[in-house]
Amino acid sequence: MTPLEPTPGQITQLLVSLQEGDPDAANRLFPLVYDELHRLAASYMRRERPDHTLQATALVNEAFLKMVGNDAVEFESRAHFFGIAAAVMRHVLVDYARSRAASKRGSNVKRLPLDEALVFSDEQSEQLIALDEALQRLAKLSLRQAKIIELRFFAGLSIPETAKVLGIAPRTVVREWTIAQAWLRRELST
Amino acid sequence: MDHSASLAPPGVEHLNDRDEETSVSASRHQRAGELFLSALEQPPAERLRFLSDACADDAAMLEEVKSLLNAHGTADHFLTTPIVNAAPAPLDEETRVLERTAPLVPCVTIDQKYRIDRLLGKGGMGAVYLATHVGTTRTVAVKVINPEYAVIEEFIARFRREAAAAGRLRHPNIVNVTDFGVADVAGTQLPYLVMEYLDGHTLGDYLKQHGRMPLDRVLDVVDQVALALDAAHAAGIVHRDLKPDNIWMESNRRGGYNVKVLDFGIAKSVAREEEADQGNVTSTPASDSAAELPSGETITICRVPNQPGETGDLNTRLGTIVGTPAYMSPEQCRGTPVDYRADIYSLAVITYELVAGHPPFQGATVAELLSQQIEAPVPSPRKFDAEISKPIAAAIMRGLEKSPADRPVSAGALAALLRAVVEGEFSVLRKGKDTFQSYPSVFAPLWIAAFAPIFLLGVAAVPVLFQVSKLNIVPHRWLVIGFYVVAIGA
Repeated sequence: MTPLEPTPGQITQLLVSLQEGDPDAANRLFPLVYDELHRLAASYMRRERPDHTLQATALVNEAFLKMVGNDAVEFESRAHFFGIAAAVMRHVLVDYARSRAASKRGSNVKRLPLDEALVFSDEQSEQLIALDEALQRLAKLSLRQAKIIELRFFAGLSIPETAKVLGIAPRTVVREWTIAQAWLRRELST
Repeated sequence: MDHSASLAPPGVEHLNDRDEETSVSASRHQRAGELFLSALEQPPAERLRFLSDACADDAAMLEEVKSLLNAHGTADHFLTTPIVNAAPAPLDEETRVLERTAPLVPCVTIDQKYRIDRLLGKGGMGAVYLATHVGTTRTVAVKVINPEYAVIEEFIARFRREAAAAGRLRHPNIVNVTDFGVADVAGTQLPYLVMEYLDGHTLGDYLKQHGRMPLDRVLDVVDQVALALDAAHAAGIVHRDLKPDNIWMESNRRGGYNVKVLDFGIAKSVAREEEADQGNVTSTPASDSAAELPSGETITICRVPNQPGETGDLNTRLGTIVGTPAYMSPEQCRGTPVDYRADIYSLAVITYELVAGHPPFQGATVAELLSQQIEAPVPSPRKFDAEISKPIAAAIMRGLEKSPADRPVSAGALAALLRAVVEGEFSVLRKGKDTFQSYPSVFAPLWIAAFAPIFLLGVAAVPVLFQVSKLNIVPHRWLVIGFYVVAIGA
């Protein structure tokens, strides 16, 4: 999708800009991470056993290593990257669910590269689309709770990792995570 | 980037776009979340009542929180397992571990010094782990305070100060504290305390299993605890939370126990020294199991916030952690400043329980227990067991005097008093036994059985002897006299 592969330097520069408060940096970073995750997911599927399910965390980690590298990166940059990667994973997966739902209805949507990587049931696809919509509503009420769900559910980050990314205490993550789950479950059940 | 527009990341900058209406619903959402979490901390049966009180004037809020609670109860693995993750439901377990407020997980090395091996136990205040000191590979016990307590700086400062005090105490009957530090665990500052690892069990475990303890062993245990207390008191340290669960018993090879007092000074570090406001005192259990009477748990006594119905923030809730109601001295229960004599009272309560099988007061609620400690006359241990002698009962009750000035002057004095009366009784028993033993009762029948025939024969021989002497049968005469002599000798 992108003609040129971004160099680690570029990515790091974008992360630094993001950290300095440049809102455009996120918009430029996002598609780069998106493409990288797609590429990685495809290569994963080629070399892994067919019954092996995709590991979201491993994928995001590998994307980070490949795009940014491991050394001389500010801790905050790393956190920003994971924050963005989680959002990317969410879009990748929701896109996939939408395309699947659309193809069921007979529309001829281009298959996404993740098709082969993910084994979703129709039910899961619908759940995922509903979740995405509910998350958009939740973000208006509590951006932090929406972000926690994104990091935990879509990027598979642990509670301590989520706490690091958001710069809050693990205890707070647990509290907000509990609230957000109850809220989403209620929204999804009605 | 054909899809960049549709994939705009949900960034923090969107926060500024909120209109007024959104911010109102956002603050209601936040309030609902807080109420939901507070309700979860209540026992299930009391949640509805709690919410009705909290949302008395806001029916919509009540419905919102109730629906969250209902949704929370639905068993659903969706959301708890990260999507596209092969590992089955890891988030559940992880969340559970954190919610149990056990802040560490095995294999983590804290401060690059102590590798956590496993959780040994958890109380209301914190958790104790089995750990390995990386440098020496020595097995140690690491105590960590719950993160929710650890976030308060004043708390950390007190914990540090008191850990230093505990570290200063070196005594064979006090658990040896070897290190203190503040570890950074996932961004949270966790103060921790390193202690020698002990084999064995607590006195609390012993009581649960046996109910009570034989007198001679009670003397031994009380002596050792008193030695520990006297050493600490001499160093200006008051335990304040002495109870069977804080007394460790390591079996020694002589069939007895080496007793070590745990948690020295830690209880003090969490206690507020100022006086609590008169009368305006309530209690909340520090543990999660709010439904049970935490008579064995260290409890938090806190001042009620000024407005009725207000739950109070974390700092207020932390309040004054005074001790364990069943073992607390009257002055502690009143919230007045305590000195070493509070420990003497607690030791007397423990002694009472060891001897009688029950602590003196067994209120059904914390409040009842506290008022009993403050003003109820202490029932004699003979109420539980009439076999307990009056002097022993009186000695124990000396330590349970309501006024600190009326108690024995030191823990050692209480132990000595107890030993004096118990050994006094033992020596009376021994004396009685000694006098009886000078007539060996067991052997008396044997003696009688062995010599009775000879004696009878001798008596019977007297008339025969006279006859024989008349008949002048000389050879038999000396034989019969010999018989006679033996019989008399016996």
